[in-house]
Amino acid sequence: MKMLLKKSRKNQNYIYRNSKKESLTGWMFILPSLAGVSIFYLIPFADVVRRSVTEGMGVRFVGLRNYITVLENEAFLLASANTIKFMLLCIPLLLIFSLLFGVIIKSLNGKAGIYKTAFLVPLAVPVASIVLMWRFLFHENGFFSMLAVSILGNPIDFMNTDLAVYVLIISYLWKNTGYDMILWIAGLSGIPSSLYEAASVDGAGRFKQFFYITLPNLRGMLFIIFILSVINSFKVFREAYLIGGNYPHTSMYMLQHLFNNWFVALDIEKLCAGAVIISIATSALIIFFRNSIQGGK
Amino acid sequence: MKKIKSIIAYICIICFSLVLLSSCKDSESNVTKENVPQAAMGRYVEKYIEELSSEDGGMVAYTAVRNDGTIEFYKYYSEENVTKVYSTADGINFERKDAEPWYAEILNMGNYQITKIDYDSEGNIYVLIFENEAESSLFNKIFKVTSDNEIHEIDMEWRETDVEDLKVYITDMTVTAEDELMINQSLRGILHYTDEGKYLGQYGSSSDGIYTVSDNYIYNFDARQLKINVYNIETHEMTREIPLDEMTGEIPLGEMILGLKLSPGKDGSIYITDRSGVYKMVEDGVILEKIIDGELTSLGIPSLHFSAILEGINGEFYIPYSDREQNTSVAKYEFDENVSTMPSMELTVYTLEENNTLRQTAGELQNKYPDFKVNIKVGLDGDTSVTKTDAIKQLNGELLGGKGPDLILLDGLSVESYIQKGVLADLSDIVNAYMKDEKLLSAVINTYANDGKYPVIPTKFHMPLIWIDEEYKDYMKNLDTLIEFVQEKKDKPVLGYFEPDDLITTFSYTCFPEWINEGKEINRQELTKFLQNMKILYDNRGDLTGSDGKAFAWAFNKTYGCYSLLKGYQSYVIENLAQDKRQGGIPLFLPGQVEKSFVPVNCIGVNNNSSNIDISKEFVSLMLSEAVQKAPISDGFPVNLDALEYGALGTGNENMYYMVSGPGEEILEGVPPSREKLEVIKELCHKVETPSVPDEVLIEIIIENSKEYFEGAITVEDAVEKIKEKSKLYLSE
Repeated sequence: MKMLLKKSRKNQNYIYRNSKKESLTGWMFILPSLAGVSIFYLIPFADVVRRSVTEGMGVRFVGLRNYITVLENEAFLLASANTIKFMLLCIPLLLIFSLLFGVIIKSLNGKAGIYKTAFLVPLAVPVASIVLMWRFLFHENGFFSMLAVSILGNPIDFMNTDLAVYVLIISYLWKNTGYDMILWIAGLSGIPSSLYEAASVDGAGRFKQFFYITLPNLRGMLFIIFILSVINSFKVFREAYLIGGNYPHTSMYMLQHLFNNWFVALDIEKLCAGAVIISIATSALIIFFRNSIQGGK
Repeated sequence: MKKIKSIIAYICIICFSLVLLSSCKDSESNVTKENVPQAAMGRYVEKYIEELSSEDGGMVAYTAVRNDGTIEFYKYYSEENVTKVYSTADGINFERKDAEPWYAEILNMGNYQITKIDYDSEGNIYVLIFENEAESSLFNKIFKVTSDNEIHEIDMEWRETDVEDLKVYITDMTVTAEDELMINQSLRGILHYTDEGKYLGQYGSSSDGIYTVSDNYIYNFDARQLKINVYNIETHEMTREIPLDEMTGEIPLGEMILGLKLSPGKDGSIYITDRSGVYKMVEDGVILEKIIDGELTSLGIPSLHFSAILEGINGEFYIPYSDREQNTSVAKYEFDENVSTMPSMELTVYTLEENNTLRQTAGELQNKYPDFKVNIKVGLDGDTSVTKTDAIKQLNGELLGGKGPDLILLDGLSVESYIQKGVLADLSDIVNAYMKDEKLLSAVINTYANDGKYPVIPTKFHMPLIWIDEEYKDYMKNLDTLIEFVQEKKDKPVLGYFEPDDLITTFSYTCFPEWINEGKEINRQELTKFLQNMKILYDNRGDLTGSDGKAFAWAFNKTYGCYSLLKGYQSYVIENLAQDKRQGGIPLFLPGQVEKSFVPVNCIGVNNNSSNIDISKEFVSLMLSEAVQKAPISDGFPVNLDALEYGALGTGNENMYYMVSGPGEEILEGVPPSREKLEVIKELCHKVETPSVPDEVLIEIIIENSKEYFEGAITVEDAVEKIKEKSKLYLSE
């Protein structure tokens, strides 16, 4: 007995030493990347946090005053509401559409190439060209407005009404569906076909296979696509800015507009406080989503 | 496998560390005196020639270069009515003597002025004269003075123009190496003659006028296509073109190019001079070498005009300058290898747009402190891809990083924001030094003052004014009385044609301060009243159209008055001509919702983080000095009271005559405003009270959202509601 214990202790020490070594090796591998991320993101963010609790040009400490100012700011509340509304509308739609198209195209096998290309073309179109196109379609004198005149009798200036945000949503979906679709296809390709075969043998139809085999196996991919979609949703600011300028219609006024204008006006403390709030909110969202997915496993 | 992973990891770390270390600076212990890199040495240093200044009452009228390289400066003394010649053969000693007898003899032949003197290879002198009150508008003659002092007029085969009043008008003359004449004739271009006056040919187009002759080539600047055409004088053929925008030199395009001068150098080279500096191009060369930096010399000072550049026998240069009052001076530029190529210290001044007052001040500061180079950084430098927002963001990024400019010209920037964030240093010591002697216009200076502190100082201002007959002046008290006047007078428009956006922008200078409450909200009542009044004014435009200029319409009695945002005494031209045409009319403050408004401009601040605070404050002090404030730069009225007084004298404009053509065949012409008229303007300057800095974003929102109201599609309440809605976002930020 004593000899067995000694041996196991020895093994434990050996295991402990080995895992320490492996951990060190792992750290060394990620150190260059970590250094880059620290220099370009983490350290600047630390400065952002510092400025969020100081006044003016980061000299005098003011505690949480900037946060209170930001949370009471009407423009911030409006921009946050618009951004949340945009995400709540866009991301589910994007996930659903891209998954749907991914499943369809995956089933086409050899003929899928041309369809994939067609869905990926929007990604390659420059933002300025997209904006020109949107102006042509949605301007007061644009195509859809002329259509409205022939049907309703009055022109519609889409970009200066509450419909502006839907133009942005269409733009976002049009641009990002292809990208997410490719990711879904990658995830679908990772599901063993034997599962489908077994399910077919057991009498499961296509819908049941989709809900009980495909979806559960795509959880991991869902998390990645969700993160990327959230990040890409912030990039729609480019189109909004080129169409509407610094102060677009209120329905299109996003957080980036606000932060951009605060930077121009040198309202750095508010900008930093707002950025910290958004970081915390976004992190919480991602953690919540991850836990939801993992909890489902 | 684990060992391999470890090895790979270690290799990665070593590589990464090597990369990091290689980008590190040398530590101090590795630097020795021997391997410290030396600053580049040697540049042309400017020095004014005492004998050739105007302090003794003389004025350098023209220059000439003899065939032996001796440079002559002809200096005219108006009080004694004599001309002295200062000549130098070695660039060091100047000999002063009376002008030779031929000089007076030619002037006595008629009502002549000598315009240009040049020598041929044999020492004969060619004299271009301008005949005052010449008959049949043949204004010029050319005389030849031989070496034995015989004078005869050259019988020129003039090429007359079709313009009745300007048949022959010569602005320049040069004697070539082959002893032939090259002249620049207005509306004809550059013409080639023999020394006997026989016409040989033309170079370039009839609008060309800037040229130089070097060896057997004539270099002609084509201002429209921004290139230099090179012609062979013997064959009259163009040998090559030198496009300026493709050269590796730094000749700026745009306004500065108009002051460009060409001059010959040795061995077939030429010099191209403008405000950015002196550039040399060798014969058959394509590269411009900048030999004198305009930013470090008087070339960069906007109030000074240079007429020529002459190369001395020892490679030095001479540039005669004159200012508005015809005071002349001659600067000599000599290469000094003991002076660093660039001054060791730099002062950076940031401005969104090009600003001549900054350039003027920079020149003055550099003259005083030669060790400092003033680097004027222009945010919107003509590159069309850079927007105003981009430029501001770049500036803010630098300020946040602690690397911002030493001084900031805040026109177009969010001044209040910069003040609130503590970006700007307090300049009360400078202001108090001037105010102690009551040297500054306090209403303007105090625009941004707070609790005795002056973070920003406006150094110039504009005034929105209306010109109207004196009998109606009681109607010009405020916007309500103006509208009352408009509603009474139905026979013709009051102020002429305005588009709604023009109207709103115009009257924003006199109404804007009333539109915003202290709580940063739109004052609905005042804005509603404003829009209603603007609509009345707009509907009052009658049959006038956009082509009916405002001052012209008033001059020819089509309106009761005209408006102008007056930007200094120098810009008081068309309204003055209109007053003369009407033989009446007085300027008053443009009526509005506030009284006696003015627009502060050239607002300067010093960066709190500047490492050159003292010299920066010196710069600001110079901006407020009489010397800079009275320079004839049309960017605003001076805040320096001495300069304001001086401007009202109208000095330097005595010989000016204006002719302005308007819509159709209307022409306004006349002399500059009299002292009495300038005194009236000066009195208005002293009365200004309310600073008005209309917010560009808000003005744009108001213009955009009131269009339908002016078209009659919506009511004023709807328009104000739309404006409030749209501006809420902006104001709530």
